[in-house]
Amino acid sequence: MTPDPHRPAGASGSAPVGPPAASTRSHRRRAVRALGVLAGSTAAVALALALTAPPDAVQGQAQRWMYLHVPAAWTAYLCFAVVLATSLPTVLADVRRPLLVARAAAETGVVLTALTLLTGSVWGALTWGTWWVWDARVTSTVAMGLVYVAFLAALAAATGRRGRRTASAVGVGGFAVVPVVHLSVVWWRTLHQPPTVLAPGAGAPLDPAMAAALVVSVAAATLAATLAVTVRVRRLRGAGGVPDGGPGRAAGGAPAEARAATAAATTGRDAGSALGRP
Amino acid sequence: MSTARRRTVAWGVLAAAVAGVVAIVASASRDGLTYYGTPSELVDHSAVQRDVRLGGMVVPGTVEQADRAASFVLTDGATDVTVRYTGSLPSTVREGEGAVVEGTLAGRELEARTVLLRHSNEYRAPEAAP
Repeated sequence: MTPDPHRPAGASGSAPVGPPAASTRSHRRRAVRALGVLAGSTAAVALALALTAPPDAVQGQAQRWMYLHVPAAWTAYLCFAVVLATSLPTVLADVRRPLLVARAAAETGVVLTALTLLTGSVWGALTWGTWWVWDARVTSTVAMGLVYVAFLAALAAATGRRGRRTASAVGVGGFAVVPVVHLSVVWWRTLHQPPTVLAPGAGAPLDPAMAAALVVSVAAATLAATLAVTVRVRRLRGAGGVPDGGPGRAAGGAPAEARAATAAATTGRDAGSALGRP
Repeated sequence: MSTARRRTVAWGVLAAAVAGVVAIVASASRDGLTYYGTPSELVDHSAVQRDVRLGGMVVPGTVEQADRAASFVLTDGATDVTVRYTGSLPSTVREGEGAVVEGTLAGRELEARTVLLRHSNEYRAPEAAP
């Protein structure tokens, strides 16, 4: 992949305002494809490393679920950091564009949180001897999923400027759940073990081959999540994926709402302002 | 789905998600977020039989597995509790590793209903294991 001088920083392309020129569009398409190739090849390396790393001395083969579970949890955290960063501008000033990225990141985050619980459940069944416990780690992870859903629902229910800013505030405040999830195993007595890598203070011993597999798995998951968010943002942009209306920068208030309603009535499909699923 | 209907659904989902978070926080502040008690915490309190969730380390050399019954000793370093379990222990029960058991505690003896294993945050290859 060669660096592209024409492509603006921030490959997702949310920065420029107005319809991009045809050449920019094709550059972006190529950038997305390159990201896909990079994510795919990193995932292939991760898979090879995960399958060739030694089994754990105590847990045996079951420990390999770590290479799915930890990357899923990491990217679920990361998506919420993106929600925080892209909701904040709307809280501070009424801008709409970053909310597209916030919505895409939250949608990806919901899926990744579910994947974290699913892989954790299988790993737990194999090592703990149970599929599910309501310990602080599992409970707070469920809460993180609910906060993601609450943000998306608030965004979908929102109309106008106030709704938009309220939904963004949910996104910003909701990020507080992330440190709670991560530190739950330190703050409270849980069935889940404490962190090994991102641990406060000194970490715990991790076999070098396992560490390599874990690092590459996390990198692959980060790239895949970036790709998912990017592709989703491109889709949403074509479909007006954030709440419209009100005296915002890109909407014309009540007339826009009325137009949307008329369009919805005449075409029979959603021309509405809030969700716009493609 | 029309815009109005979609918004109604969104409000419903929002209410459900918020209710879920509130329920979790309420339950956490009522029961606490401590998943299990240690032998010292639980044994000291009383000698009457009661339902507990107890966690500790499996004392090396104490795991006994017969046909229909198993037993081992859990410790927190200060207090030991003998755990009896009907049936066969999960294969992941390891001496020196953590375990969490649910059951009825009387004195220093616990009749376990369920046995869960904790594992440490240390990962080693089998060769490197002590």
